[in-house]
Amino acid sequence: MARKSLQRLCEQHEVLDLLAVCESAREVHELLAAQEVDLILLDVEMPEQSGFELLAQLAFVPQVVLITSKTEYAFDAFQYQVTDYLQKPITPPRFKLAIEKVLDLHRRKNAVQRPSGTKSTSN
Amino acid sequence: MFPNPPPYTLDRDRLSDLYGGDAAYAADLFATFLEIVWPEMALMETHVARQNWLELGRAAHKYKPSLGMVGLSELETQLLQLELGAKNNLKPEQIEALYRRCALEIAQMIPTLRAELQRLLLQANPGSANPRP
Repeated sequence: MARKSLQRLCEQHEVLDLLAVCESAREVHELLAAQEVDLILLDVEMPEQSGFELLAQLAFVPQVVLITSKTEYAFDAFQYQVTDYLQKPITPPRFKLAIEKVLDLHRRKNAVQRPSGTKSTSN
Repeated sequence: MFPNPPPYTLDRDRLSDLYGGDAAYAADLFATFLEIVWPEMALMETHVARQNWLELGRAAHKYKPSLGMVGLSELETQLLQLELGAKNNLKPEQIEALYRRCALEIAQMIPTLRAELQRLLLQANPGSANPRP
């Protein structure tokens, strides 16, 4: 039910393009191997492997927003440098705020990576 | 002789926070609760029968947010108590009593949830006389 709500929130957001809804950590691994992903909305408690175990195994970690119903994971979330941390059930305003954080970080990373030629043009 | 009144009212503030004025979105999630989550919650009975408190605690944790999403905030808190009781090795009879109370009160709230679903469907589709049989 939480997943369905999250899917709806993603579909309603004007910027997000929902690529997939994964049922397990294995599906996430397969997806990341097949295509480039900017953001993972990751449930901490998954059937086979926890969200933290999954993050520890990834060679390249896109931005991550952790989803959980427990507040006690917040400390661990900081250790994994996730962008934000949402508690279930998720309200639309809190979801939008998390996505704003994701977009802000995305913009700042892009600005740092911009080639020097582009910078000089803007000057 | 007369049916018991529902033990709680829906937490309207919570529902407003979650869905705003989007009746179709709310209806979708109420339908998911009634058609999928609530029948699945019956599996908790098996965990109680087997005195499998670990699984009962996990199930309580899993279903807890769903209760909040249909405005059953008091029952969400009760399920949290059940989760903690099961994980903290409360006496079996105490865990079972917590479970029985939750299960009974959720069942008593089902007619209220069904009525709310109908109301939401009518709100989302005003032209439809009988949106969901």
